[in-house]
Amino acid sequence: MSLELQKRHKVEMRNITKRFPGVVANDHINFEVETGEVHGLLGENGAGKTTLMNILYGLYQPDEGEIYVRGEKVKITSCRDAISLGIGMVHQLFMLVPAFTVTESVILGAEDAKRGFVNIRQAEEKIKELSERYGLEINPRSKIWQLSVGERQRVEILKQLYRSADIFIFDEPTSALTPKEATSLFSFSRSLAREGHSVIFITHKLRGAMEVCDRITVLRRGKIIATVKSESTNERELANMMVRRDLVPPIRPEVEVKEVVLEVKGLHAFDEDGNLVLNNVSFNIRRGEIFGIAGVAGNGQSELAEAITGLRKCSGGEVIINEKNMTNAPPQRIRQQKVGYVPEERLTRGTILDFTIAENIILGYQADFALRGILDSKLIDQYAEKVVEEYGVKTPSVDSTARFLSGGNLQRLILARELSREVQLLISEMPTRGLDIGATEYVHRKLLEAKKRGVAILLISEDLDEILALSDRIGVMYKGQIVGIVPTSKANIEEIGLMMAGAKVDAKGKQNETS
Amino acid sequence: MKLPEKWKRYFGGLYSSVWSVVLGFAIGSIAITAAGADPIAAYAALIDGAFGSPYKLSETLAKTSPFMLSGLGFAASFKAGFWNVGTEGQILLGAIFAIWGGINFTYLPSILHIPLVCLLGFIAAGVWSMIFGVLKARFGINEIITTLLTNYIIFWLAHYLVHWPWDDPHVHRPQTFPIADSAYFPILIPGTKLHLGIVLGVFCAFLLYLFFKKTVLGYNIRSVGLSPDAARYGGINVVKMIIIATFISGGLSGLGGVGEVSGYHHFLEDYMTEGYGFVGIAAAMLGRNNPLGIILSSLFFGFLWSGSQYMVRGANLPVGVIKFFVGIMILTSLTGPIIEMLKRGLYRVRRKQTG
Repeated sequence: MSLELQKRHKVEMRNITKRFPGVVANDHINFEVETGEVHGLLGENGAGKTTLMNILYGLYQPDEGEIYVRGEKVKITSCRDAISLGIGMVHQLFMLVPAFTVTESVILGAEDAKRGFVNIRQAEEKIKELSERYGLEINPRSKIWQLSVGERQRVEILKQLYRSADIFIFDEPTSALTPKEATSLFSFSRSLAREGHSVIFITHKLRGAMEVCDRITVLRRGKIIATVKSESTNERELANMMVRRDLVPPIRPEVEVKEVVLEVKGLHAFDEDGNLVLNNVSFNIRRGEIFGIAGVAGNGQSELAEAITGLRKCSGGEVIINEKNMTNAPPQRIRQQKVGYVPEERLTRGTILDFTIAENIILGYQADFALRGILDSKLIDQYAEKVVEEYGVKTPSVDSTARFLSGGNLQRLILARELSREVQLLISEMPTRGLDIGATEYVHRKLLEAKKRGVAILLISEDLDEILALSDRIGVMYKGQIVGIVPTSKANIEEIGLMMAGAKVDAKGKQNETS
Repeated sequence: MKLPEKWKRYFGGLYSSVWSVVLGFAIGSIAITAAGADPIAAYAALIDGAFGSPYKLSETLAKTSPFMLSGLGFAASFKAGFWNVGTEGQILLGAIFAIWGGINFTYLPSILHIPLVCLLGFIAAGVWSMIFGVLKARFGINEIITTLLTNYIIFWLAHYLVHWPWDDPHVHRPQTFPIADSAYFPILIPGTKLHLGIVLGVFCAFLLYLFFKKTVLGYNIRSVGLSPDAARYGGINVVKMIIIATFISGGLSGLGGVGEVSGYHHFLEDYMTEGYGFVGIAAAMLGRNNPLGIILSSLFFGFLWSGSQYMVRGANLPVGVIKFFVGIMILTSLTGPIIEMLKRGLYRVRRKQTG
């Protein structure tokens, strides 16, 4: 290989193999990133994307294989090594101190100190210069807690730039962003590439990958399936490579919409710190209807689910289920109204990890499996075995603890419990978050089946595609309010995106017209 | 070779418990050697002291019963996520009510008098411990502080009763009137100290085991302990469950105190049950809060408690070293969860890496 060619590869990973007990996470992987390139690393959960990048970032050591950076063979044994090679990683979850300013956060760990004093002003200048050069708008003096998720991400990126990183790894960078923030992240990534840097995008979102990347490498079960140019491929082909089957967009069955199951009127609620988190929320859901709530996480969606299911006190307004006023009723009584709830917190709320599968399957319905207060373990086991099979929960037995289930399997378990009972209203909160395509498809199918049966469904999700694909009507939440309700047939992504970002709050009632 | 899942759940906890005991003996041996004695001889004296004769064995089993009952008591509320470290006071409160029930109601036949004192001790200590359940569940007041510090209230209450209103003038030492014969627990083997308490303990252990395994109430209490948020989600009244669990918890410890009065001493004096509640907590920890495990672990502490007294003569050890030894065993019995956590932590790391 000529020197010239080697130089073009900024990063080259050759024959990388990494084994964990029972799994080959990376199986002889050859992966290269060129100078001035945005390279997508696409794959389902557990495909080995993160493992590969953790090897590059020095968090894991490969069992086999070699890494070359800028043509030189290197051994990366820690993050420190990676950083000194100019590799910077922006994690999915940001690790920032809320009370720090942007400047303080950026220089943390890389302070230029003179006799123990940090020259903040100088650092501030440098940050300003960097943010102007790359189009990362941010005020160096604002505090982290004042910033939105997208802005915090910019701080993380600036942090890498400040340490003069040259190879950027973004781990699922768009998962918590509004469409507008995602677009600006994309254009920023392009400008990094133009400056001669290299960007690696870890993602399982096809659309984002297509939009921003020059080339895309698809991983499946630890192996490279292909590396393709984004211009010469399409979403369908990529999805095929990822899961080796066609991605069928869910077909929404047309269900005759009948009587109202859930009616929410002027709901108000506060969080633990006394902030208003639900502000005059009103909507209704009819039998066989899916009502989607779009919005960036943290705008009152979780609190809405809690208020409806009785887990949060409402300070005003009404929750009416099946024409019965259930405002501030205890959760047990609300459950008895045939209300199912698939919570966002699968590990702490939806399941009890130290309980067995069977014990988890009766949670909320335990009294139905008992006679005079004594649990009928035979009945429980039979029932559990039945639904575990029906919902395809992969487990050695219903006696093993839920702790050993994967995320997708846990969600199947929760769905099995909530849907195998005769529910009339289902509150489902981020039902596919963190799940891979296969599991997501399954959840969607189950939700649509429930809709067909006439279940009224409240679908809270950050994933706009999911909302658009499943819902009959869409309400957008921003800062505790529903800023607009539109029927999906008339929905327009940009408009919804603007509402999610709060642009429509002051617009005069135009969007507030409902079906 | 892989153990079947069920077996693993039953006996998986044994592993860390055995290791904690081994750790205790290892540290104990160092202390005994440092004190200039031979650990082997010391342990021989320990074993002989606990099991060497039918009488010694009966003493061991008699000591086991308060440990077992208070251990069960600790475990009962622990399942609801409530650390009841007031077992010490609750035993004493049970003992106080056994005295009260035992010196009154003397017209009752044994068949009624014994259940009465048991009930009195159970309810009194149960209601007492329930107060802290309410404080925690309703107002979020830390139970470790309240249950621990209020032990002193019971201690001084007992002190007052022993020295003044119930002081037996016929005895030179400060101690209460003896209870009526009709309130005496039956002796299981004549000529020994073995009384009904141990049977009561084992019976309660099985009852508690079934309660948690088989009843809706037990299921609900366990849910609250493992994940209050999930319990609320499952429609369980968290406050109510904590209150019920703390009642059972205090009650069982109280029953342990009743046993000490009705089964062993038949009167109450200062320091009579000192330390029993804390040993009970250690037994609960060593038994991994599993009622059946607590049968074994409290037997172990009964053995240690009564056998260790013979180590003074048997191995020529100063009393201080014996106390240190027992203390170390109590401390290391608490390491079980740490060993388990380390194991689990390793598992989690491994699992994450494959993700």
